[in-house]
Amino acid sequence: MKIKTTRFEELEVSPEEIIAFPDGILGFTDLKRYCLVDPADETLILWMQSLDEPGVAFPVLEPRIFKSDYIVKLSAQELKLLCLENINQSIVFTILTIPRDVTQMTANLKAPIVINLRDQVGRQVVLQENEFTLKHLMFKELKTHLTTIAATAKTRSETERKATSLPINLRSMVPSSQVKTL
Amino acid sequence: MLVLTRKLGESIAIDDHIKIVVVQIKGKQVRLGIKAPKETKIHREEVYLAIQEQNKEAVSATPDTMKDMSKAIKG
Repeated sequence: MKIKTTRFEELEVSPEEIIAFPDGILGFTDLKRYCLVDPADETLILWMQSLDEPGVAFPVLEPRIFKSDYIVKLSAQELKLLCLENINQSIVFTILTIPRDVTQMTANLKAPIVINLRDQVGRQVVLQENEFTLKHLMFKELKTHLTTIAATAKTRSETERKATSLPINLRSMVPSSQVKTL
Repeated sequence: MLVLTRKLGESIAIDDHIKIVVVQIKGKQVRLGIKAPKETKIHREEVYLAIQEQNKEAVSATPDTMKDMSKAIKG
């Protein structure tokens, strides 16, 4: 299907790229279908684009990139809502808030997005841990990570890089080891 | 909505496993104790409101911000 977006123009989205959010995202409960878009800008930040509202897209980042000790503990109820029989088929993303001064960007650790990669179901879960904040500063860690990658990937030529924004096939994503059960 | 009157020290039971106790009453503030299985998620309502606000703020980022970001990372 073709979808309209304000950030990536028109996108062609295949069935295996669609994620159902039965309860929507907090504050956006009417929007139930999203896809992940790789903007091909080498920042590792992906966009979770609504299929139904062209202007709604959340910048998201895998927390393993900036906080390796972060663990998302899911309750039995959350596992059920995500149709997750096997915890190892899920991936976790944090929603980023990127202000004008990008060095002040933050990740929401309190309410991450968990996606069942096999059944293509997603949910924003609210974690019990009081130490997880909604505004975790992480620009420095992301920058360090990207600098490390750039140093090892120098041989890749400019022409090899893809230049267009494309939706991501969920089957091609590597499950996260940061999701556990309560 | 079910409305119940409780005195200090009295409780409300929800299902078989959740118990809410009035621990302290002080002016306009009530302190509640909640006993529930660790599976149960308990949050102040403000947490949900704050997450909604944070999500709305997150959606305002554009790929232009990302260009600034690429620059900031390389610089």
